Amino acid sequence: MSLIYLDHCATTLPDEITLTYYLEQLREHSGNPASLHRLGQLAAASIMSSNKQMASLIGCQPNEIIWTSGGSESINLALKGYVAANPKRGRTIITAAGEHRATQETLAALTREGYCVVTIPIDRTGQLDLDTLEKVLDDNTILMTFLAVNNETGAILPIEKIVEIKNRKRPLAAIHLDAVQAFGKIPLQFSSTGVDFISGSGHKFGTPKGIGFLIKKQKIRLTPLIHGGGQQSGLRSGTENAPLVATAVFALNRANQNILQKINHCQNLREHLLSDLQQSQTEYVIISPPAGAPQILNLAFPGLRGETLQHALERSDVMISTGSACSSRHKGPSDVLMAMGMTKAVAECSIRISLDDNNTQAEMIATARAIHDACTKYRRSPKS
Amino acid sequence: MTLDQLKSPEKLEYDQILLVRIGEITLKGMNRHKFEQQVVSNMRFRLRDLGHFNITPSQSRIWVELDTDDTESGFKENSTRQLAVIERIKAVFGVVSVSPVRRFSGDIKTIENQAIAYTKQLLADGHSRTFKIETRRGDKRFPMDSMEISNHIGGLLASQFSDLLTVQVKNPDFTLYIEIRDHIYLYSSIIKAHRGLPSGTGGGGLLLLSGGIDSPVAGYMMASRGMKLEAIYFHAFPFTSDQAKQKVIDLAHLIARFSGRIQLHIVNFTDIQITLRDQCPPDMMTIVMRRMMMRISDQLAEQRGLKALITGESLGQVASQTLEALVTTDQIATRPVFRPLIGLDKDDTVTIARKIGTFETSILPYEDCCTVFVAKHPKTHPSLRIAIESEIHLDIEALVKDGLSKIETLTIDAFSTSSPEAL
Repeated sequence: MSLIYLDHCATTLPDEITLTYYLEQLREHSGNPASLHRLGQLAAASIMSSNKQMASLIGCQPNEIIWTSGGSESINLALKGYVAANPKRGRTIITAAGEHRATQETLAALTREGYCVVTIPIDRTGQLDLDTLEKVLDDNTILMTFLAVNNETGAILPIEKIVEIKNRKRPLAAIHLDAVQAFGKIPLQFSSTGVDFISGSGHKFGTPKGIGFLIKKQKIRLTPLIHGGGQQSGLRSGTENAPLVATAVFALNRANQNILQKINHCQNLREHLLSDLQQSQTEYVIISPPAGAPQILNLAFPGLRGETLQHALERSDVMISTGSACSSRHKGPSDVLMAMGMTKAVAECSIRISLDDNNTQAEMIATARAIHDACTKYRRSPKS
Repeated sequence: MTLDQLKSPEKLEYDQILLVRIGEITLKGMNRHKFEQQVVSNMRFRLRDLGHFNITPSQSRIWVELDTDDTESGFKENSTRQLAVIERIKAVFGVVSVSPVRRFSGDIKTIENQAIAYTKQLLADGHSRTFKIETRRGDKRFPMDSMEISNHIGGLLASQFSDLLTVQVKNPDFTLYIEIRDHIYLYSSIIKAHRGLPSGTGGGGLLLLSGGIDSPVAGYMMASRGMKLEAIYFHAFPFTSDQAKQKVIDLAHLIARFSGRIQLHIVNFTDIQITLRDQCPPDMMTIVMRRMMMRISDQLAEQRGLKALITGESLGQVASQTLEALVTTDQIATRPVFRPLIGLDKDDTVTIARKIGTFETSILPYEDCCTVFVAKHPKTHPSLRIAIESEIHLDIEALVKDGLSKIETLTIDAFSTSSPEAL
């Protein structure tokens, strides 16, 4: 069997159809959209048309879309841009334990500027403690930011409940969602969430790397991070990349097609894998919550470090990761898992399998076998 | 007179060569010739992919010049090739310093013209400087003595470049050296090298190389005493990653820039490590593992004819490097274990690692096999008796045999033409 790719949360590789489409777009729309000649205007028209399609895919207005270089830039723009533009709204920012490092580090930077960041704990299932949220939300809260889908565990944020609490206790606070792992993976419509802005990243749903987006309600004021030619209403200067914008919309559209069947497929794959592991009597601990995004399966094999298992699986051509690929250079057990109250022994032995609809049952059988073989050979026996 | 006003002298002829000074080895009496030949041979080997060079020893110095058949691509001052050659020569142990030198023939008039042209180039940035002249007259037939030449040329330069140059005998910004021997030599820069004794004159040693900061430095230090290095690395995939192995190979390449070619022996240690993990008390795991590594290393050294083992241990640095722990590993070896870092502070080791360029590679975050099974509270003061008792369930002979039978050997040559460092 050829390579088994089970690391779609790190990046979803663009398929041939998307690559062909991208090449076509590069040929046809590589003019500068700000140029007044025909080539430039072709690119400008392409962006306008892409924005319309994107708006209908996501459930927003075309002028609510800001294209960026990726998820990290979108998150930075949302958080830094919002507090800078609304200095009188308050000084407290609320977030949750186990956020992505793009959020953690941006908030750390804002802390150094004098903002107070309050971190809401999460429970064993990765869920936010809503009672604490209700308690800490006050008139000094300017902003809340949460992961829509946790990139390590797949835990899904109860958006409606959070919006309800906010509307009741502090209607003036804004909510930002980091939905990098949600777009193209679970149904998500901006207008129906009730949040104020939402970040996404193209390469997580099959676009080549280098593009992301921030969707924001029209009334939300932002201070730009990047100044220059005033593109995108002055909120994000820099020549717009018409071919990549078109390809992101194309890829998201493809990811969203039959999304419920795809979710179902991933759910089946996941059950298949777990049942195979059970049959081979390979003991494991499921860390992902039962009601999480089915394409993310976080498992621990106590007695065998996640890294060791990852190396062993790679030899069998199975590509998985331990926690977030974005912080793979960060040593020690995952922050998310520790925040969920896992012991270090379990957290260190966890791996993340992230699926997409192209994965097959045969791949699950091969993966379960490879895990079983690695456990048999390398796992520390429980008695020691 | 300013630089612009100064008329360029007529085109001057000179050869561009390198003067290499060799130091400590000149003290070695009868062995001097042998050591000098070894430096020349090591230099020749290191420069082999950079061009054809004539390398000639003469009176505690070595002259390096580009072969006349190979002058097309040039050997000018500050040329890429000359800088690369200097870098390579600096790393040859036994070399104290290197100077790029202009060589020509003639009389005092020629020296005047050459000194003016050379100084003009030195002052090209327009900054003022202090200077002095130092002359050595080996050829006593030259009509002026050293002092006269220094005074004459010093006075001439000071008047020619009066806006920019002032004579200062103590701590000048630069010294212009004039040497009169079979030819006349002119230079101002003395680039310090790594000193030491030439590689291959101090016997052979086996370096226990891990991916850390210390062992590459230990290897460098013993190589600087003339020791020819081979290295052994214990790879325990999948407990340690292939990146960790690549890191060790990269470190061996970096050490080989100084030590010369290294045979790197990579032991597949996985099965041994599993056996130790399952059959030894967890708090003694590291000690037992190091004793096992020592046994395999000692036997490999025997097979390879290497007379010493080299480790990067420093007293008290970690639990396995307390005196008691070192005694338990020393007891295994049947040959001397050299630990050149034993009395060094970690900061001192890091300084050397930075100097030799291994630090950045050493700190890449890949696990090594010493850290994957570390107990929460390892024994820091194990007695030999406890160490031996901890091994009671092990078939040591079989494990050592297993390790020795699973060795992959790589030849690491920092300057092979395929190497990225090769120019």
